[in-house]
Amino acid sequence: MRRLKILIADDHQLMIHAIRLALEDNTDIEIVAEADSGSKVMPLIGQTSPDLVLLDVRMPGMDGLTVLERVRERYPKVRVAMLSAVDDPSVIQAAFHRGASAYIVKHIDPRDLAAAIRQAIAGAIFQPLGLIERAGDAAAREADLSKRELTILQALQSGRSNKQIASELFLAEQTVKFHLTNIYRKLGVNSRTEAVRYAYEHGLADRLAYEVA
Amino acid sequence: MALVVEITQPALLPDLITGLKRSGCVADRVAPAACRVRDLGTASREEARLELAFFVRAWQLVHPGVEVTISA
Repeated sequence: MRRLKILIADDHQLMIHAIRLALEDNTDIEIVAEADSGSKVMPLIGQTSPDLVLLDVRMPGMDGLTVLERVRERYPKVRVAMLSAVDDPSVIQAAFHRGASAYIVKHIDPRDLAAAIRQAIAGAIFQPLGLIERAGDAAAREADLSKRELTILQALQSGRSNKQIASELFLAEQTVKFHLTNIYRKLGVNSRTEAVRYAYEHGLADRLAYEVA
Repeated sequence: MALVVEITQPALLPDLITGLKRSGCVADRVAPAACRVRDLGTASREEARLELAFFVRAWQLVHPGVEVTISA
């Protein structure tokens, strides 16, 4: 089994130590490097080729959002998950606009950290609690989504499979696929990830993708 | 700024203090089952509490059954 390689960037040793404790029983995850400042991240990515960078927003030297931008430019295949004490919606939004795969607030239960990392690497996009207000009905109408399609779109955010969505909504898996095809067509997207991103960017999402705050 | 961490198993306090010191904090035993933690290097008390709580919850994962209280 290939292990997921993680680089942690946080200027507080307390957090780095805590993250190590939180992940140590997850044998599929390997911490390949630690950076205590933003400026150390890029060289360490070059040396260790991580799958994901777990990045604090506030760091000396180069702040997390700047690092995020540079990582996405230079290493587009490397995912970045922000792990931060900052829960200011404008900062969270800025992180997603710069290409973050997840924004994890430090309120997270450490037991959930490994799952959040795995799903960020798998391509799901997470948004923290409270970022988006309740679903904009107008936005849904504009996209011409039915109530059922909107529900399925929201379920996509949590990284659920078609089978799981079908089970939760008491639908046949084939019906979920049918709705997904319609959702993709209406939103002009080609994948689940693109659909979730669209929902986020257009205010269609009103539920937690992943409860991280 | 200082925060006090109290745990339900006093025998584990040295382990917690060692972990906190290894993480760059100043941690001193102030009672049989409590330590005071300073120098967290955070910008605010709220951030200090958040990071200390995250650390302590992660520490609890390797010490199941210990209950922890953090206070100012």
